[in-house]
Amino acid sequence: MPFPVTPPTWVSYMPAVGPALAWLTAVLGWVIVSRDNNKREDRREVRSTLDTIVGAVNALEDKATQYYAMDVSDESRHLEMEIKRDLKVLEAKIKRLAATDPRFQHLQRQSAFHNVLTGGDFEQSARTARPHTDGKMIEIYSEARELIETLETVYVEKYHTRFSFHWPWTAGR
Amino acid sequence: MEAEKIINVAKQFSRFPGGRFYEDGEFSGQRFREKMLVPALNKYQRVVVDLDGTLGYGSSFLEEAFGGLVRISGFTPDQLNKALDVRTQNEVLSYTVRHYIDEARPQKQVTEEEPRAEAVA
Repeated sequence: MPFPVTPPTWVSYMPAVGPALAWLTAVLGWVIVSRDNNKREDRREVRSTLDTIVGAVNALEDKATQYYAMDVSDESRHLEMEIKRDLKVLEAKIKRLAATDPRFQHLQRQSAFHNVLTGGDFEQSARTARPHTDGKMIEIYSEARELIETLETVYVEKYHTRFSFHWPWTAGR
Repeated sequence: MEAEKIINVAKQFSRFPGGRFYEDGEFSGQRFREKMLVPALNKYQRVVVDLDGTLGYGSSFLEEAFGGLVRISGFTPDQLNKALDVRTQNEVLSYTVRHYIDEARPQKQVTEEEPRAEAVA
């Protein structure tokens, strides 16, 4: 005759708890997947806005170098208006992007870019054309790259720095 | 001294401010400083400058208008921090104006007494 086995008390709760656990698992799974989808959509939207901003910075760099390479003329006056207008639009775009993460609103970097484009002899009647090897052109290029690099770094830190697990014995490899 | 004066650049000066000196254009930074900012700062305890509504600003205009308050017009950064309030939706502009005020240094004024002072030293 087999030895009688008394099941533990918790086994008697299984008919009630089991289905509840299944539902809970399904709901938790939905929450996790939904959250991940939303994060992915946010990232795509930020990436798209950032790409637009990078394009705007590059376009401003081109306009500014073109401006400083020409003497004062109707064309240069027109470029002055365009550069100021485009800077205003760019700064508004970055401000909207900073609503997703305030680190995007790097005021010092933006101010430096604004200054290199429109400081010094900008809009002065005594301004003369500069060669493309002039230090001013290099400054414009440099500040444009710095601004883009600052924004891209914030993006990477926000979306591509994740917790990663390593086995202890692989540390340092 | 009266209490407060609000200067809306777009409505009371120009929607297209630009240039540094008088010879650079009708709505230069020098004109804005000498004809609007300095008289207001001398008359009112507090001056609010609203920068919104224009096409945009060149740093040359901003530096001449605001940095020039320290460099040329004799105000100190402390005086301006108390008396001048720059308002704008564009935080880059307000940051830049503050930077120009803080970094400006009064232009050295050569006086007749300086050579005698150096001789004594």
